[in-house]
Amino acid sequence: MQLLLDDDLVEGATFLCATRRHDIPSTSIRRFHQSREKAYSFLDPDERQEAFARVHQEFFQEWGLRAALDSGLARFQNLQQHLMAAAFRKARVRTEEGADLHVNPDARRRAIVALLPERMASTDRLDPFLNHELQHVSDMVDPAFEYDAEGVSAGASPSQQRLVRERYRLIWDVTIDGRLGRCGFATVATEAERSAEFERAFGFLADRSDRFVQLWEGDHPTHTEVLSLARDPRGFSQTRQIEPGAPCPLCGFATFQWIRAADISAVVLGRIRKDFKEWHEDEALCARCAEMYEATAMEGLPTTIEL
Amino acid sequence: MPKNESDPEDPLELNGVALLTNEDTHGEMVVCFTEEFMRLGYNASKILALFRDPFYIGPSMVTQEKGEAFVHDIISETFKAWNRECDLTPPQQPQAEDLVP
Amino acid sequence: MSKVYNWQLGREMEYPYDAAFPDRQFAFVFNLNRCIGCQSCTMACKSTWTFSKGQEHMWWNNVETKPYGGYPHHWDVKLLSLLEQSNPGGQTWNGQPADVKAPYGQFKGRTVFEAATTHISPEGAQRALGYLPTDEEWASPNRFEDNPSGSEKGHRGQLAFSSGANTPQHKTWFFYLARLCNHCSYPACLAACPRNAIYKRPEDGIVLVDQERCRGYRKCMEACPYKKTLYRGTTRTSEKCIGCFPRVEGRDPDGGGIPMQTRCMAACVGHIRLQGLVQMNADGSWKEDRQHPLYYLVHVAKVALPLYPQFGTEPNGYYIPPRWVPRPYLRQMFGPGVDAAVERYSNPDRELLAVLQLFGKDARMCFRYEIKEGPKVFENSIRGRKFELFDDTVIGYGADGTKIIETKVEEPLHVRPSQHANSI
Ligand code: SF4
Ligand code: SF4
Ligand code: SF4
Ligand SMILES: [Zn+2]
Ligand SMILES: [Zn+2]
Repeated sequence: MQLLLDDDLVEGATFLCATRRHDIPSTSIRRFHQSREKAYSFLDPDERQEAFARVHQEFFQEWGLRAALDSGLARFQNLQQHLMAAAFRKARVRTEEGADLHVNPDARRRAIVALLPERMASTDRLDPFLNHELQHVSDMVDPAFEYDAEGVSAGASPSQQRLVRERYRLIWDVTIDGRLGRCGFATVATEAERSAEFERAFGFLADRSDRFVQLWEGDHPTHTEVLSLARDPRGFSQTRQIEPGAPCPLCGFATFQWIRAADISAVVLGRIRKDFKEWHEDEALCARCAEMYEATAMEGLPTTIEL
Repeated sequence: MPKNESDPEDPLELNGVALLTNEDTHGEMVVCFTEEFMRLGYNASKILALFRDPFYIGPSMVTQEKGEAFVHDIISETFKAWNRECDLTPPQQPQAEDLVP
Repeated sequence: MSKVYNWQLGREMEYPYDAAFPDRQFAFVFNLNRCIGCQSCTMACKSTWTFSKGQEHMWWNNVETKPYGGYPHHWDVKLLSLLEQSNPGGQTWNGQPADVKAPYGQFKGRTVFEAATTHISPEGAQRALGYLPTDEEWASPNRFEDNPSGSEKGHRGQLAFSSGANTPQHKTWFFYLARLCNHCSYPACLAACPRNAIYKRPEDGIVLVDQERCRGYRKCMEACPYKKTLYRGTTRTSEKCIGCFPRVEGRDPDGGGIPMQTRCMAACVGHIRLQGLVQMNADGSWKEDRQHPLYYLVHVAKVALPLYPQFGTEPNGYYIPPRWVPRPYLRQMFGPGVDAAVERYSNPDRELLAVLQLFGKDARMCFRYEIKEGPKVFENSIRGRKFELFDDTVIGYGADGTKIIETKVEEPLHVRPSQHANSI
């Protein structure tokens, strides 16, 4: 596995280390500035760019920054085997930070980790972050996890997709931080913090504290398990229940307003049966679908309109 | 990156700004804007129009919070104090379309 | 460290170098009662000086919505709290205001230079107390501000910015604070530069970064309390406002050879800005120049006050405080002169009304004004005070005595006929 470094990250990190890290010998810092001085003497912008990149790479290595990334990667043994490369790039803002897996057409995989240069100026900030993000990558490349990026963003509407993505992320984070803690690795959030987040996201589940404990203490879950909990935490898809908050069998949106088949006219029922062969009249439908079928059936309009 | 509690240092986090004061300075704001624009040569109805326009955040905030009659009164008093003719007619109920540009 | 005299603080203070003052100092007055936050000034600067690669995040002039915004984020809040930490409860003023040498009394607290001597930051010892903003803090110049946000894509046949209805609104007082480098008399940026790459020009006090000497240490950025030096990743040097020096020198052909106001000043649609060159005494206080509009506004009428004078750099940007803003906030920002300034601005006298007419009238720099008395228009009482309005004429002269402005207090308004409404 190759280690790829973005010049901006290397430059930002060495600059901050030169001003903030007290463990670097002052002679080394002086050499750093002298080498940078020389790079200013190149007038051609491309040559100058290269000269700076060389200087920053050199000190990135000398000050142990490269080693910090290497040892982070070494903590996750399956990365070596499954990744073609691990690339680290500079994040400009905090929300941009995180790890991602990129798969080439020839199925070669590359991890890309974005981070703020500030993290590299202190081990306290770097290690927990690396552990957490690399565990994500390690899960993604683990065949047993069966990761499928497409699956995470599937959903009926953008807001549903967002909700599923956020829940997915949280459930996965809970299992990651739980597992890392048990291995004695530093991570980004404590049990109390994660449990508070879980409480906020899944407040509607009666057995949420048990579920949290299962996730926190449990083993390595699979992508399908995480996704099904994110998509359908109450298991409505199995029960076909007419419950507040369950999805309408027609449109798939969660609804709190159910309309029973008995309250719908025969014309409208006929129309629904034509569109949804599998729909049973004992199932009911949401008020919005009922309204739509009511209106279109009465006017004799088609239920979908070509735009 | 995990999403923790709201972080006041996070520039992309939408957060409120705590103020030392909630002093009501709306009246003073109306006097000031009226005088400035009046000295530029605006007449009273042009000034009132600024207070109705949602693009002018400060003035329109006052109108929304205090009502148009409040603004109207201060504009006419200010014009009177400066001995200028005020072309405003007595305040009417604001029409819905007056509030949209 | 040397002892230098800071008239804005009414006392001597520590500064890493000896004092050296220019013949004339670049200075400006902004009337915050009039700024509409249109950013014409910002764009005038950007389109003149910072449109190149690597300058994307560089805004030498910026306008922020106080108390919400700031560029970089929270710059002033951070500075004030660093100072407070270094001198808890001690950042106070007292003493009697006295003449041009101590017009706001005396500052008892610590300046950024004084606080630095006892404070070791994570970045090591500093020449001026400060901090280095992160990339993130430089990333969004309008954060928390009331920039209009139209519908995301706009609908067919409808412009994205057709309505102000989506504009985030503040529910209480706010005002726009336009800022640029203050071309300080005791620049912290200059004091902090380990390569002596920053210098203050002896002819006009404009503070410049020598691009040949700068080696991107960013010590100036850390030290400038106003955060007005900016780093450019492509050249790896710091850059800052250059005070439009070719215009100040009278080299802009539009000025016909006499000094012109800078781009951001001349472009101001709100007519809030007046910029000029003021004469200085040997101790850095202003030489009496009674008919200079800036001298009048700062030292005679005392309506224009320095921005955060307690920082100690003796900034040369002055502000007429917005009169509707609660006083404690203004006092923190402009010092103890605030109450009198607001009072005087709200009840302007004959001369002040005339001098205010000079703002935004001509792009050339005004060095002297004269008032020709006109007839009394009326006499009244405003908020319980006697008020008289005279239709005086104010005349402004350029560097070589050319008459550049002549206008009346009761200025007529000309409305361009509709067929020419948008033509220039
Ligand atoms: S405002 Fe900042 S950059 Fe400008 S002269 Fe003062 S210290 Fe230097
Ligand atoms: S003085 Fe000139 S360089 Fe400085 S901010 Fe204004 S326009 Fe920009
Ligand atoms: S151009 Fe003038 S009115 Fe507009 S934002 Fe700048 S300073 Fe304010
Ligand atoms: Zn995570
Ligand atoms: Zn439905």
